Amino acid sequence: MIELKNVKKSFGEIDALRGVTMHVEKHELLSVVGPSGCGKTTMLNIIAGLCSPDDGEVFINKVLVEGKIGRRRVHVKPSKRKMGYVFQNCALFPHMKVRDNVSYGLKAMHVPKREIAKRSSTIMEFVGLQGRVDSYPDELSGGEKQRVALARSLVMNPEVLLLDEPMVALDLKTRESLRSDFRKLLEVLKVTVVYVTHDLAEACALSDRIAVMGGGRLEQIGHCDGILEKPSSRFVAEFLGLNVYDGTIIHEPSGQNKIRIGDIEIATPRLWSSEERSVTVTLRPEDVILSSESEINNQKWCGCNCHSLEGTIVEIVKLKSNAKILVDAGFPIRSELTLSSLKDLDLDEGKKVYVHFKADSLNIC
Amino acid sequence: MPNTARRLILIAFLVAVITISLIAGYVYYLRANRVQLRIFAASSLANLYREYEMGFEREHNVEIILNLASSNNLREQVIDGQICDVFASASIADMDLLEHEGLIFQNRSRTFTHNYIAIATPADNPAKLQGLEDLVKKKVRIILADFKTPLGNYTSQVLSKIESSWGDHDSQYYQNSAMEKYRSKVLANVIAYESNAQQVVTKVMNGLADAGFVYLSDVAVKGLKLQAIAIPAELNVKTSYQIAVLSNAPQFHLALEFLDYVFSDEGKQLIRRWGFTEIETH
Amino acid sequence: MKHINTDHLSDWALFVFLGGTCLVFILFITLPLLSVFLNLDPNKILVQFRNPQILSALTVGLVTSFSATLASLAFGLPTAYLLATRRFPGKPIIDTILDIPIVLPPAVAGVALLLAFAPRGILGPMLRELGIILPGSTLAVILAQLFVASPFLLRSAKASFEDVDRSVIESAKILNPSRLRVFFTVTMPLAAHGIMAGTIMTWARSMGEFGATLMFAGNLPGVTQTMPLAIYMLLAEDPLASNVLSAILVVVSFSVLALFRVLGRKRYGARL
Repeated sequence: MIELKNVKKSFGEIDALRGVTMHVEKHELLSVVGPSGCGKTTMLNIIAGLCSPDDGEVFINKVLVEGKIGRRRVHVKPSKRKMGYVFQNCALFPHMKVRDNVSYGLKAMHVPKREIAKRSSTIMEFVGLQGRVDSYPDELSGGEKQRVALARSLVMNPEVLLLDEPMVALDLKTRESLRSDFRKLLEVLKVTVVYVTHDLAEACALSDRIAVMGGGRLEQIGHCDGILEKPSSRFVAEFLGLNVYDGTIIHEPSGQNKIRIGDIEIATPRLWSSEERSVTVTLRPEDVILSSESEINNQKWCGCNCHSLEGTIVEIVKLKSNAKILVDAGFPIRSELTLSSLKDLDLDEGKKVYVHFKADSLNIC
Repeated sequence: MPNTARRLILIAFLVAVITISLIAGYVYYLRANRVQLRIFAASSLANLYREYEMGFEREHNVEIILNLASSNNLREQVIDGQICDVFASASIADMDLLEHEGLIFQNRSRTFTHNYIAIATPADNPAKLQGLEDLVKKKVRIILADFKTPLGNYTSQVLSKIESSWGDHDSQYYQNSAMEKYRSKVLANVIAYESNAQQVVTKVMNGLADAGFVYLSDVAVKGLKLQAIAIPAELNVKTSYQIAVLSNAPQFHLALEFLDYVFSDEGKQLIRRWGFTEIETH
Repeated sequence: MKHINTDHLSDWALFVFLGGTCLVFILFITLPLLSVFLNLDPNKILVQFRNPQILSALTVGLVTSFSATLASLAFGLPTAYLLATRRFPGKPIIDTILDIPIVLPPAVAGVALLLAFAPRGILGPMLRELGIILPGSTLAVILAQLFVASPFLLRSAKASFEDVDRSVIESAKILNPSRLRVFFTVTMPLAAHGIMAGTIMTWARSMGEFGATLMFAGNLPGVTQTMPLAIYMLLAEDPLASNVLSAILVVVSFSVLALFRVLGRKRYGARL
């Protein structure tokens, strides 16, 4: 549905996009994640037509909306791209009531009054705004404002919906309620959605696929689980909060290759080429098991290629439903546990603990 | 304050301004469409020419626009290209300059009245000045017209005359040592040089100075608000006011009629009434 | 012996100092303003309103201020919009240049206008060809006022346009195919408050313009003699008329400021 081909954009000295090629499927919800300044908003603006790229092409529904045909520069106006855009700060028209905000686009297209009224009230009901119709934006709560922004875009029956970190300023409860309403909406409507966020959890919860961007480049695109299991680069792994290590592949005459990380040698999973080289190794914190035993006596674990290391707990960070633990086992290793497991294990900062993980959990990028 | 009240006040203000401006515009339009006669007159002629204005407008359907300033200033405006129909100058020099530029119709400028210089003090004469000698006393505050203006020029001449007559040992009219270097002593007491005659009169009248050199016509009429110190005739300067029509005057014929009016009996009567000196008729 | 509390003493001293300075300053400003009114004889005022010189000064003043304000809007709004929304080489210089008339002494403005537009000025001969001689004309008054007063509108409008949230405009652009309609339905309403304030300021400044008008346009009653000029001239001949005109202008100034106070500060983007 949306196709970007080698899109480049610089603002003076700063290269915002360094050749991004991406494909968004029809009716899918793609989340774009990345740290601040990685170019996600710029990309969104280029798709919307608010900004023109320096190089590259953009196709929407197979039509070229941005690019060159021979010598001629093509740029289709934002209003002609059948898109909706929800800004981070909602960008509602402060001088208009909610109903006028929502009907603005329809009025601009000279849709007859009756139809405007009908479509507006339908969408406002759909989005949950009844009763706030005659209010002004400054009288609304954060969540209500976002609903108006959504309604304003959706009432135009867009083919594509772009959202730029829409929930970033909302409290947790509002976010969750809005998110679930949003998913319900999308089940009914047939829209292609590109959702920009820096919150990985949100991206994984909402989307079909996620795209990880960094430094103006598309680092990896794919399903959430796939990316988490097999991050394609150090950047992605670090962004995802995985354990990242520099390792070297050592070739053993017996045929079993090992990876050396620091002082520790670990048997490599799967079959790798026998070249000796430096690699980046990643490991999900969820795959790191902590226990007070130096060996794991668990059915599932026996017979697997697993490694155990002794270490000291450096830091415990307790979150809402889980805890992140940093252990020093010769090199820093991060683990994630549920709070109840934490309590069961009676772990504390400074205590000695054993770290276990399967060789299969290691990923080499 | 609630928003609706605010809005109303703003709208009321705008409506008021717009309405009044439109009315003003209409009035302006009416005036602008009337025939306009532009008269540039020396500022000392203010009162006289205001009367001329009223008199002439009574008889003719015309709007007179009276531009009052010092003659040298007016002369510059005309040379710069400003539109003018009639020019009335307090000095022959300025008129000559205009003739030199070829701006005067057939170079026909005529003297229509004369004047003399006088020394004026405020009505209550706070510095108690009685005669010419008192002007050289310390701390007397004097106002003159700028020397570039006719009045200033004449004043300068009078001061020189007084000095060479009453203050020069070689002169038969030598008075005393106080009168020596009269001119510089008086100039030392000058606190301001004004840009035209009217300014000098006003400032003296309002007590902003102890004395000022003005025209005789000024003290003759505003007698109540000014007192005069006499300047003997032999020390005084007889000035000439000249009037002429501009060669590219837009209202050429009306301008000529205005000159006729000035030289008519009524015109001459007004000259007398306002303290000017009549021209000799041959 | 009682212990004197020095804290209170220094507080008191501060209060006296601040209060005293404030009082002196207030009196200094208020006294001249009051004298304008106290000097008026109520019986004689009404007659003055039929005084032709006062009437023509009012007429000229209102017509020229109004026209100058309209012209400021016509030229100032597009310029302000351009400066607020676009970047182009030399913009800082142009920004500064357009601000200069605010700090420039009016007399200098008058001379500058003469040197540019008087028959002997740079454009003089060209204007003469067209039959336009500016000094001595009402148009010159309007131009002088436009020169000194339009920067107020320009600055105000520019700031207002800059303050409009870009993302709001972008939202509008996505929904509305017509750039012009976006401007009128979104940009203008949001900038309206500041523009209005700037317009009123421009009008007030035009009404009070003296130096540039005197030098460039001259002092012709009924043609170029605006109220301030008339006040100056009449001071010599008809002080009461001068006084009445002054009182009128003080009332106008006061109304304008009161209006600003009533309008209040801009809130959440738009509504008055």
